[in-house]
Amino acid sequence: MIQPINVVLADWIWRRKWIFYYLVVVNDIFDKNQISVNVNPEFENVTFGYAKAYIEKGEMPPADIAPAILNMADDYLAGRPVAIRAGDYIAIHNHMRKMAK
Amino acid sequence: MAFEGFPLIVGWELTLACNLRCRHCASAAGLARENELSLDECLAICEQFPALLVQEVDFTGGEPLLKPGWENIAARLRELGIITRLVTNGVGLTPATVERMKDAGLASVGVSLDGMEATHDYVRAREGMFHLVIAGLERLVAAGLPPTVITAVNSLNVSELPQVFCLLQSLGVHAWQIQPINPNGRSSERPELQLDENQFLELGRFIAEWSPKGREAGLDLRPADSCGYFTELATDDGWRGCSAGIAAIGIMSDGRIKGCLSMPDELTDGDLRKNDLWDIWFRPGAFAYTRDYEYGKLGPNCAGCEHGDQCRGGCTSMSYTTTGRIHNDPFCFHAIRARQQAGVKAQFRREELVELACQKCAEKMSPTHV
Repeated sequence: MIQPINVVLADWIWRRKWIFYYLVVVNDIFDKNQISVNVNPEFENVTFGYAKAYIEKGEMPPADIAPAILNMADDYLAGRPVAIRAGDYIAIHNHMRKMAK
Repeated sequence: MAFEGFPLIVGWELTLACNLRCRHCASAAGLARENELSLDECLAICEQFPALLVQEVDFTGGEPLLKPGWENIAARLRELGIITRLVTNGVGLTPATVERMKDAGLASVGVSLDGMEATHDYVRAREGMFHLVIAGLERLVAAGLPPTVITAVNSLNVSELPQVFCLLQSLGVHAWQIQPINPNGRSSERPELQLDENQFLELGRFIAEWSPKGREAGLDLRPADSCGYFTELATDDGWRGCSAGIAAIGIMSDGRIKGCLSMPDELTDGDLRKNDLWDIWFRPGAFAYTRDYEYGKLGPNCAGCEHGDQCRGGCTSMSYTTTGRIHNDPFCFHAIRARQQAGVKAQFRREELVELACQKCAEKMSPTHV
């Protein structure tokens, strides 16, 4: 089963106390700096594949996502819930989109 | 550094079709846009939301209940774990519709109520609408589907707000969003509805005085974006600038994208029929009007303000539609106060607005409301 990951929002985003024109009922979305996301199988396959290759064979992931994958590998090894910075999350998605073209 | 925000809140105009022709409608809703998104296209768009960390989708219009298959879209969003709400004019809240709303998993329903009976029906341009809305609110409350009443405050209803407060309390409504009328769309042809500076302050005083009473009574008053900032009248000093294109986004019914749906149509920033939402959101240079803000971009209404770094010139939509500039909101409480204290002539005086209205569209005006 695919585990959700936590995306850590940049400080300047979550510390802002946004008010929304269309926010019908203000809720606690912006009281937290992490958003839990159920990633799709493709995301999990890519990230887990790179992390596994790094852990088992010492293979470095592609440069554009290497920091994100190494951090995720640390979380996997430590048995922690995976938490990645927003910038790393975006980089992984951009990498996947580039590969798909 | 690359932009790292997400469209956490999505306002989605499901259709521009509407069964009313409200005099104040900033979207000039009535007929559907040409070539609106099909249900299949809408459902495909939903699939793009999770990767972009969308947390909440608010259906608007037009009248979103006129979009065939709105329940299917809501149900899919619920399956994706996204909170979904719907804003309606309230005249179609039949028992069957309320039941469909519950079945679709809506978290709450926003209902427009723009004053007491005479004023509400005048704004709606049709008699009897007030009673339909009240009946709809009663049905929502009885069904356990929490309504939020949304009032677009104009020069006719600003003095009725205490009465509306009491009415909502008696109906068992617990949330009330108060937003100043936006002079865009049909509203731009109705200067007699616009608030002048003193009425903006009257609105602020109402919110400041009645918010504590609301908390005691279990009615949460929420001023919207274009209502504040940085005086004792602003009940929430958390204003940190417009979030359009930073943490919020608007989808038009034909697939075009805005930072916020209340902005004029010329401020679009992409098209979902040409690019997916990820590419539109992260395109370098996208939503530059909010993402690339600098203090030096403040317009004359805000230039030199000590809150400029934090405030960024108020509500983008209000600023643009009233002054043609961004970062230049003329109706900021703080700026109005500063101008009045300095003896500067008000930019928007009611007499001048009425005169303008008479010149421009006398034939459309009701003398009883000038």
